[in-house]
Amino acid sequence: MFAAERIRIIMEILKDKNHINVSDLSTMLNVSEVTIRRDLEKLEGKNFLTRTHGGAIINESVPIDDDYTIEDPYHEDRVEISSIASHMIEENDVIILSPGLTNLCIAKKILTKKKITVLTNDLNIASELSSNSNIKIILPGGDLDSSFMTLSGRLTEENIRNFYVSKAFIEVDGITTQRGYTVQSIERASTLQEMLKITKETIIVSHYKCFDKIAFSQVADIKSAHKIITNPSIPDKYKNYFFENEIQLFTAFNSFEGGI
Amino acid sequence: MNPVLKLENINKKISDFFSLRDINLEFFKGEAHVLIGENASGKTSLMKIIAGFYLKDNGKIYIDNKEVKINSPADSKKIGISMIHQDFSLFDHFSIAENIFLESKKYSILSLKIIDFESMCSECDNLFAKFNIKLDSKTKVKKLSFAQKQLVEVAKAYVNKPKIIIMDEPSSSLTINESKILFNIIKELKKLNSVIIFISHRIEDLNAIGDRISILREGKIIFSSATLNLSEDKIINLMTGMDYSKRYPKLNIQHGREILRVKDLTSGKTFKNLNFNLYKKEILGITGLAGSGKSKLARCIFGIDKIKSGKIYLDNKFVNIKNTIDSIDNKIGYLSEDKYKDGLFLYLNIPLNITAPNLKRISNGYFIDKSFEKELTNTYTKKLDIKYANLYDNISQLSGGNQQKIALAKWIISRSKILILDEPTIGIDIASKVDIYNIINELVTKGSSIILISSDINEIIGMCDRVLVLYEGEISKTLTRENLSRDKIIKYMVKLGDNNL
Amino acid sequence: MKESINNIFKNNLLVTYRKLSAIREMTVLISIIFISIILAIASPHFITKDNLISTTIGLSSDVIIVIGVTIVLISGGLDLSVGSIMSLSGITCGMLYLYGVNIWIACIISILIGTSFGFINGYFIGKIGLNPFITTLAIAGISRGLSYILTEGSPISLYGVPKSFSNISQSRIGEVPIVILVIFLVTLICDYLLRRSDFFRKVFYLGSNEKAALLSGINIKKIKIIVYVSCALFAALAGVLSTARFTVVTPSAGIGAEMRSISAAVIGGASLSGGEGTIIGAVLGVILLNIINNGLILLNVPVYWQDFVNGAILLLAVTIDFVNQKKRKELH
Repeated sequence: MFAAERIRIIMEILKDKNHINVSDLSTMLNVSEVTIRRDLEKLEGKNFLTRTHGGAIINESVPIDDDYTIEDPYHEDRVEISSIASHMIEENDVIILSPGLTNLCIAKKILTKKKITVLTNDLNIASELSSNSNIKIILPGGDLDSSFMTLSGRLTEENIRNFYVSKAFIEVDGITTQRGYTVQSIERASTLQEMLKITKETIIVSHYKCFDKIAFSQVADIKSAHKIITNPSIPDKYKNYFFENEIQLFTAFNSFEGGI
Repeated sequence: MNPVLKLENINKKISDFFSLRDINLEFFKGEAHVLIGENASGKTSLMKIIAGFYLKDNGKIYIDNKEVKINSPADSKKIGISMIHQDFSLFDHFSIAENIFLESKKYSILSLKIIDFESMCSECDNLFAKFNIKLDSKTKVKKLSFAQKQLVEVAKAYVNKPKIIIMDEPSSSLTINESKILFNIIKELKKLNSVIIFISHRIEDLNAIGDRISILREGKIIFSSATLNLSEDKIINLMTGMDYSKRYPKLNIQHGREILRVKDLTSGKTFKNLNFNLYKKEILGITGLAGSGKSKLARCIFGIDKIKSGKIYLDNKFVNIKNTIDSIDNKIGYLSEDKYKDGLFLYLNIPLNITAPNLKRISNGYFIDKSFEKELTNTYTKKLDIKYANLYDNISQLSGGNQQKIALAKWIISRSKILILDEPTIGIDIASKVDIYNIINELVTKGSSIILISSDINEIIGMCDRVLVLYEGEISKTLTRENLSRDKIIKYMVKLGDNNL
Repeated sequence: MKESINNIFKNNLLVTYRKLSAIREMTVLISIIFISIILAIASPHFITKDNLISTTIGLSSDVIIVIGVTIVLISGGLDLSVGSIMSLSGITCGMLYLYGVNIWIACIISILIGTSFGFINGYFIGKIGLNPFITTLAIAGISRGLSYILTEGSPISLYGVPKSFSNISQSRIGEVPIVILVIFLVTLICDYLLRRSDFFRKVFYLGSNEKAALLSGINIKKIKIIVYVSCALFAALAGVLSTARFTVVTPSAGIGAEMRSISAAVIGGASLSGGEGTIIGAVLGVILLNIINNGLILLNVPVYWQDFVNGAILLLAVTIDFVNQKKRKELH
């Protein structure tokens, strides 16, 4: 089991029960007690819990909030997705990278490539890519959302309409067969919709946890994608659905050990 | 004209992912009805229902417009149905004549169990002369070749004059001459007003004797007609289905240096003088009809079957692969076509299955590091999304798709550089299929090369960078991804050549 | 998330439950205790020091043999020559001694001779590919025949054999004979090896599916030879041990050992179709059989009934194994 996932489970249990002991955790998670202790140390360092003899208790001061994360728990999944995505990007491609952490990972992966033009409204992605002068970055204008460092609004959309790209990597927050692809905010959804209009190929990127989840605002119908890149542990019904509807489904993982 | 045999809405579940569905067919007297379909399309299963070896789930069978119940081979024999199997029902230690007249009891004198051997043999010789069969009636059956036994079976059926005779792939092993004899016997049987049901995947047979054709695909009759003005490629198109090759998750990855070269590889009868190579990070497809030698080729490269002559080079170095130990040492992996029979240890648990070819990695030569084994298993069952109730259950309790992923996990862990997959997705659920294609992608991005052997043309077109089409043990064409198409593959599968394209 | 945590808990419970109920050893152990209690009630002689010690010493050679037989069964094979090999190595040991060879050297030579018969078994079965049933039956005939030829059919006493040799089965620590301790230790070591060693893992693969083992790059021929060699080694050890115990060698020693050991192994969880079995289970099987035999004697049942009962138990054990295998296959 991966460290990130183990830590996630330990946090869940602590939030639920407020205390936990090492030997229970080790049998439950199938790892040695030493490993569990190390995990608990890590969490103690983040002020999430206080270790006790043979276990740990949760720190009362921690706001019990589902969004609370010490680090991005899906980081490894995103990296794996991005390595598949990087194989889809060739020289002379003009692509869109929509805002999101997975697309940020893709940006890091394609730094070594040459002669690529990237249209993005995510300033983090733009600044990441700016370290390679062989990549041309195009930023549309618009309103800045300073908490996410993304651009949106009427101006952004109008700007986007001036372009045509071969591939758009669209990161979404929710995927279901009924509601299709969804994201958290209306503004983002409408920017993404503009992006879909100017691309030849639509590639949806999203880690496995987004499946079977509906976010606030719909971007597009499920059938509008050409390719999906995610992780293997999505529900089987999606694997069936995409295959039968002629949508290429890529499930990314790393066949080398590591991460244990 | 009333049909002699009529099948109405026959359904039969064969496995979780395969069943015969709503089969409606009519068979008329004096006609040869050719049943065509790919491997595992359900031809033999359907015939086994008629011959009483399988029980149908529902539906009705009519003989001369009267409904009949066929619950056992004996029931079917009583009606006058006789089936010639791919595996024979001859008695090896008796003479040909005795076998042929076994059921007719014509030469049993009185009620004593004595046989008038001489007159029996002379009639048998007459029969053989009529059909130009060059065999001595007194020869023991065990001395005959596979094809000769087949002819004896057919002759036996002719003597018994069955109402309905089912022949399962009789022509696949016959020479041209022997096929002629077979077709002559069939013509005689037609004159006797028998119904002949002829199972085949060879389209030439249809032109030679067929009066009527039915095509089976994925357990369904998708075409049935009396008119024989069908072109070969139309039939194959019907056999193999629509073009669905766009749904395969294909990554375009630049291939590297040559990693495998096969030179003049010859294996006894199945194939000879095969030459091809494989590049690093390449997915090489090998396809062909049944009997084209594609599975045998895999078994020879992996060292299961002996090769007669020819050389295999890995990384430009000649390697002598004598057995599977050699091939595994050379980082070759192999997923067999029949995973139940020889790919998996069904009655051992997941860790034991996954580590079978990887003992060197998890042991110090004497003892096994169980915690490392468990860690490896946990990691890979998660990575490959293998679903199980309990890690230590026998894998016979898992679904076919999950079993296949376990079989693949073995070779991922052993870090095979060349992975030969023989029909990796046959008979498994769609979700697992998609997983397997993605596993192939991941392995290729990590530097492995794949040989994908498949009779699923969509899969071949969808996943492969280059395709070898085999026809009767020879490479009839090598197609690259740019000029890969369904029509081309089909034409080279039956070796129509460039002129017909 | 909560769901997955609950699942993990549920799975752990299931595992513990299944582990307990599936352990064949447990069932055999309970049967042993159950039969012991009945015998203790039925016969005042059962729970006496002398009876217990003589029963345990009596089963020592069976225990050694069953270890080898279980290994062969796990590999998907069968060995019907263990009894004859046991008798032959006992006899060669005794004859060599009588010809003036040092008793310890005689032991080593006779064990080597017994083991070489195992190699012949393994060679014909593994290398040439003969059927194990026929091969080991033939070797059983040959080695039993040799025993009769060497002894001309009559038992031979080893007069004046060194005390150090005959003491093997008599010396004790406190009340417990050393032989018992040694055998207990050997059982535990073999059981551990069976679970953990690289070699025995391959034996399991071979027994479970020979073709798949071949495709996994396992040297099947080599494993088969080693399996039959080790089985014969254990049989030869048992022969030498019983020579030390009785200081008499007889060509009829070990008759019926095949039947008893196969029954015991199957009772203890080994399967005739291979790929299954544990040493501890098989040893418990031996204990169970011997207690039943001991009970028959204590209850004054004529000694001739023993083979009858043993045969009936073998038939029962094999039938249960067959039914289990069939069920498993149908499930699949």
